[in-house]
Amino acid sequence: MDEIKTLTDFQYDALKEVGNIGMGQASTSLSKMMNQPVNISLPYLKLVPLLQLPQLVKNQNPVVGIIQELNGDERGFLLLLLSKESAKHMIKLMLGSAGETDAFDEMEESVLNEMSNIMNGTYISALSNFLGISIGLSIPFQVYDMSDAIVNQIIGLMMHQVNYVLLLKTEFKISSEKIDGAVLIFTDSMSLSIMLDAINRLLGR
Amino acid sequence: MRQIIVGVAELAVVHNPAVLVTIGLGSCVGISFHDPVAKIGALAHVVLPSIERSKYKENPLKFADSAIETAVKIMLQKGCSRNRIKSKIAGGASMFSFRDGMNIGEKNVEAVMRKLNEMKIPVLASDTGGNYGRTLEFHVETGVMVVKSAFRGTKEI
Repeated sequence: MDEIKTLTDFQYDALKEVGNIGMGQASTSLSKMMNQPVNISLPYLKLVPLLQLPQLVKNQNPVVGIIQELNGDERGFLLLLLSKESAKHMIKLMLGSAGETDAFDEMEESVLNEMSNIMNGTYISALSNFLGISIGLSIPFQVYDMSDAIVNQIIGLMMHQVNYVLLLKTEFKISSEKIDGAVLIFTDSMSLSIMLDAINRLLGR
Repeated sequence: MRQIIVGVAELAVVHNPAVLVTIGLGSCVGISFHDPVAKIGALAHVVLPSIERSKYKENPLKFADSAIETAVKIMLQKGCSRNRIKSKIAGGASMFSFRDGMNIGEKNVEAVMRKLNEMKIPVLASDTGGNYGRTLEFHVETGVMVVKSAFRGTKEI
């Protein structure tokens, strides 16, 4: 398979739509879990050199990152980013209370992992079903650290195979609970052709 | 003080005074080089261990082995002396891992050490491994590397 380095406007639009559908379903599952309305942003989508990722994912403060590896037809990573405050608010909503410390205990971590699993799982299965391809997800891995360092390792892991990555980013918000976060999908440009073929099939092109 | 940001797969070689900064090293490794007499310092931010085993070879600064060679070459061109160049390294963490045997941070550190040994460049200090990110500041004036992390404080090596 070749590395895809550019996309047509049509492909961008189609991929954004697919992302929108996936995130729509993911936010519904989050909304059910939290029992609160969840708003999502329009997806940001760009095929970029891996080395440009640090400029696109910047956060001043340490962030909670929940990472899952994609496998099957698409390769890459899925990253859910939350500020510490949002993560604590989310835990509070699920457990009734959250620790005041700067860290997360085992129970809190597992709540965040579980939430991520449900949300990301819904997202990825919506994508898989809609496109008729098979994408799997690894178990979640949680870190609380500088976002640059998280992205740095994603670059390191992907650069073995590719120079380009498709970044699909959607932000979500639970206004009533002061929770906001983002889901980022990094798809390796080698496996992208499977997704593009699937879109063409859907459209009978 | 002049601050120069060294991005992923970048290298800066400068004359004093300057502080070379690389932000958020995860599995990547930051390598500083210093010639105190020529007052020249360098900082490289490498992503992968070896250019030889990679299918993309167009950017030598991505890889530990070829970036070290490039850094030393530029330093010599700028008037450094080969036997005065000393280095320090930091980074090479494993913040998350999904498959056994895929510790890329550790492989990067090994590759950096191997190349520096091969080129007989002494490694004066290192702060590598672990499961957390690091931001580096390399002070060309003093040769001090400041290693900052989100929750494990700041140290000078």
